Amino acid sequence: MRAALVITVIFLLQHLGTSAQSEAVGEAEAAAEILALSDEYNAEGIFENLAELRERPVLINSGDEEEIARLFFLTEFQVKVLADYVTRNGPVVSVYEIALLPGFDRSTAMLAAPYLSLDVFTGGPAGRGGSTTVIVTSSARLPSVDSDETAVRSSLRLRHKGAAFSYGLTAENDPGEPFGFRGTPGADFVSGHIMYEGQGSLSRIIAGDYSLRFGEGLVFSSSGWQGSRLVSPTFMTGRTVISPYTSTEENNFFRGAGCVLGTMTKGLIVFVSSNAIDARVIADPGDSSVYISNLVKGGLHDTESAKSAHNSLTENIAGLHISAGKDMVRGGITASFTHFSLPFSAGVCGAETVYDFSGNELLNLGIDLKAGTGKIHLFSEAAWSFPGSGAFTGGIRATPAARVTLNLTGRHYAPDYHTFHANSYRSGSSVSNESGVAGNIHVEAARHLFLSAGADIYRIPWLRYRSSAPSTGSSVEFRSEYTPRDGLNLRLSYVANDREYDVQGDNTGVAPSQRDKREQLTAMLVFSPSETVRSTTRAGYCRLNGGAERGYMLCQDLALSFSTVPVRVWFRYALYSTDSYASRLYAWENDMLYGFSVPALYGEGSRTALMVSWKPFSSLELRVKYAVSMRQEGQGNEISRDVRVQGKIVF
Amino acid sequence: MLQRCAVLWLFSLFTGYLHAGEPFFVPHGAGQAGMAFASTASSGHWNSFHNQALMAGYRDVTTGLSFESRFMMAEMSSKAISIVIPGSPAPLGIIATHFGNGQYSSIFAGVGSALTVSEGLSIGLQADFIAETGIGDYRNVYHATFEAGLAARISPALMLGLHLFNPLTAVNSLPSSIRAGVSWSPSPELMIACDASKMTDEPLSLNGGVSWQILRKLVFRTGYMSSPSSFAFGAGYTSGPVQSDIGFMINSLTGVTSSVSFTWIIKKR
Repeated sequence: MRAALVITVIFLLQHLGTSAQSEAVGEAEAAAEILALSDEYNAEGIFENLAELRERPVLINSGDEEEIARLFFLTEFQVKVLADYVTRNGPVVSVYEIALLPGFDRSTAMLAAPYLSLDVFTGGPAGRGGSTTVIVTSSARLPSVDSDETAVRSSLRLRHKGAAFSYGLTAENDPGEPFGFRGTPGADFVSGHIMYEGQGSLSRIIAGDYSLRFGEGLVFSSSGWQGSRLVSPTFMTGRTVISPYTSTEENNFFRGAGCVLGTMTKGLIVFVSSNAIDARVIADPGDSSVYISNLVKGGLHDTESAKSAHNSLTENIAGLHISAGKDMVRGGITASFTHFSLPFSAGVCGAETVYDFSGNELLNLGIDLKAGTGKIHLFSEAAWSFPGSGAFTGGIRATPAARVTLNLTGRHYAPDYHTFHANSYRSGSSVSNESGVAGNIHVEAARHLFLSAGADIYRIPWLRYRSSAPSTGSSVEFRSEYTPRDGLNLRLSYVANDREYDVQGDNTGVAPSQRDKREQLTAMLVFSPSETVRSTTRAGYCRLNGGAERGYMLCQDLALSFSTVPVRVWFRYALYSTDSYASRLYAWENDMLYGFSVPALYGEGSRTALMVSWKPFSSLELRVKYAVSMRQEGQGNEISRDVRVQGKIVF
Repeated sequence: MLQRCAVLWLFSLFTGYLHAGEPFFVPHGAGQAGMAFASTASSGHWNSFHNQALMAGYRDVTTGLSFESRFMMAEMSSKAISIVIPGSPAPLGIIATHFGNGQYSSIFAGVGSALTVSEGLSIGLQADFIAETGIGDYRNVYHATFEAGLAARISPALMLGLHLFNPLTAVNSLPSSIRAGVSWSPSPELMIACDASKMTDEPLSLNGGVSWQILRKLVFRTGYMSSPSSFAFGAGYTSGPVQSDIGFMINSLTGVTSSVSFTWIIKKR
C-alpha cells in the first residue's frame, strides 16, 4: 500500500557535477516508511536496486537507452526522451536540465540525481577490457546476554562489465546458515550470469540468472518499485527489460537463458527458466499425495522447517514478450507457461486461500499499451491467468503546468488471478484480490518549496490474512520540502494508513472488523555547512488508532569526509520510545556498499552506529561499521552489537 | 485588510472543529463534485451552494440544473435548480433543491447575495429555508437558517475562501459546518484547490481537487476527499452558452455517486 512515498528528496546537489554517489537516501527513507506502514512490504528489492545504482551510477551522457534504462524507475518514454536529448544536444550538465525535459519533472529528476553520473561519456564501459568489481562483506551479530551465538552474514559479489560481455557472481550466507548445505560445502545462495550485448538483431543474450519486467508488471516485474509508493513521481513501470539478476533475494528470479531479438522496445524477448524455490511441501497421509501448501519467502534457512522448505519446488517457465510501436504509442504482448514440479492445493489453509492457485500448470497472457506526448501519458495492461481470472491496471501521468505533475491509476486484480512474479501498484502483498484507485500531485508551490500529496483507496473483495470478510482501506500522504539554499534542506511528511482487520479475541462465526489506523509524522533537517560535513536530524512520531499507542524517535546523523586523507566517517545516534512493536519506527541508516540497514526501533532504547570508509586508491575501498542497540527490558537492558566489514576492489 | 483575512482564514482552518456539522443539504454542481467539493475558493455558477461570497465576481445572468445520484440509488437522488443575477451593488442568487422519495423528502431553498468590501475581498450571505416531509407518524418539519461566506484574492493566482453554514446550532439544533479553502491557478488552464471542512459529529475532512482545461472547450477534473475517503473524477464541456459537467465520486465501501449539471448563460455582460 501505499504508500509511499516520497517525494523524495534527495540529497545534495552540490556533488552532482562529478559524481552522484552522495548519500542518496530519499528512496531508502521512503522504503523505510513503507516498512513502518506495512508488514507485507518487501523493501529488499528496492534497497538492493538502489544500492547497485549508487555503486555504479548511470552514465546518462552516453545517450544509450540501455544504459539510461538502468534507472529502473524511469518510464520508457522518459528513457527515450533523455537519450534523444543527449544525442541531439550533447551532454547534460545539470540535473535541473533534466527536470525541464518533456515527461520529466523536478521530482523525477531529484529522484534520479544520486544515481546518475554527468561525466562526459568517452566510450566503452570502462576502457577496452572493461572493469571488474569484487565486493566481500561480512557482518556479525556479536554474543549478548540473551544469546551466546555469533550470527554471521557473508556475501561475495563479483561483477565484470565489458564492451560486449559481462558476467557476475553472487554468493551469500544469511545469519545462522551454515557455510554449506545438505552436506555440500559452499554458500547457501549462489547466483551467476553471463551476458552478451551486440548491435545486431540478436541484441542481448543472458545465460544464468536474470530478471524480467514487461508492461505494467501484471505478469512479470522483478522491480519492487511499483509495490507501494504512493507519492511516486509516476505510477508507470519502467522500461521493458530482461537484465542480469544481481540481488540476494533467493526466490524471485529466473534461472536459464533469455535473449532479445531486435530491441527491448521493438522486438521479441524469449526466455526459459528452471529454478528451485522454497515451498512448504505437505504429504497427505490419507492418499499419500504430495502437494504445495504455500511458497516460503525470505530465503533464511536457519531452522529445520526452513531447511525442509529450501529449494523443494522446481518452477519451470517458458515465455516471450513481443513489443512494437512508435514514439507516441507503444505496446506489447506477454505470454508464458509455467510448470511446477509439485502441484499446489488451494483451500488447505482456510477460507482465505480458496482462490489461491491450484494445480501445477499455469498459463499467463498480458497485453500492455502506453501512449502519450510530453504533457499526457496513458498506460495500461490487462492480463489473464489460466486457470484463474483477469487483472487490469491503467492510469495517466499528466503535466498540466510546468510546476505541477499529476498521476492517477486504477487497478482491479481478481481474487483468482494467479501470477508469481508480478509487481504492480497495490496495497497488499500480491497482485490479486484487490481493486482501488490511487493518485498523487506534485507542486512547486513557490521558489524552493515543493509539495506533494497522494491518496489511495482500495477494496479487498475476498478474505485475506487477518480479515475474515471483504474489507476496505485507504492511505493518505503529504510531503513538503523546502530547500532555501544548497546545503540546507527541510522536509516534513505525514502518512496515514487505515484498513479493516478482524477484532482480535474469541470470536464465534465471522469475526467483526475494526479499522486500524496508523499515522506517522516525520521531520528532517539536512544541513551541510561545507562539502565535508553533513548533519541530518530526524524526528519521528507515530500513533495508532488515534493515540491508543504512540512512538517517538529522535535521530542524529553526522557524515564527515576529509580533504587530506581518503577517509569518510558516518555517525548515528538515535533515541526512541514506543509503546509496542506495532508503533515501531524506522530510520534508514548508512551501511555497506550494496547493503542496507533499516532497524526497527521499538520499546525504550537507543542505537549508536559508527562507520568508517577508507579508500586509499580509487580501486580499493574498505568499510567497517560497528553498531550498538540498547533496549530496556524489564529491570535491565538488552544490548545487541553488530560488526560489519567490507572490502571492494575494482580492476 | 487582506492580511487580516488570511489570518482569519488560517484561524478558522485550525479551529473549525470547535463548531461544525453535517450540512443539511446536498451540495450541487457536477464540476465541484469532480473536484471532490474542494470548492470554497473556486468561483463558478454553483457558488450558491459552496461560498456565496464568490458570487460578487460574477458578471453574467446564468441558470443551472443539477442532478445527483448518491451511491447510484434512486431513493438517494437529489435535484437542484439555481439562478444567479448579477447586479449593482450586489448580485442575487436563488437556489432550490429536492432530495428523497415518496416516503421522505426534503426541500431546500435559499436566497443569497454578495458584496465586494474592498479590492479582492468580498462577503456573502444567504437565507435558507428547509422543509422536511415524512409519511405516517412522522410530522413535517420546517427550519430557517442562514449561511455566510468570505472570499479574499491574495494574488491574481491565489484565492482564499471561508464558509459557514448554520452557525446557530444552539438555537435551532440543525447541524452546522465550517469550511476553509484555497485555490491556486498557476496557469490559465489549471486550477488546484484545497479545502478543510468540519461538520457536526463528523471528522475533519481534507479535500483537494484539480481542474485542467485540456482543450478550449473541454475540462478534466479530479480530486480526493479524506472523509469519507473518496476519489472524484469529472469532465466539463462548453458549447456556446451552455456548459455541461459530469462528476463521479468513488468510495471503496459505498460505491459511486454520480452527478451531472448544466449551466446556461442567459445574458452575458
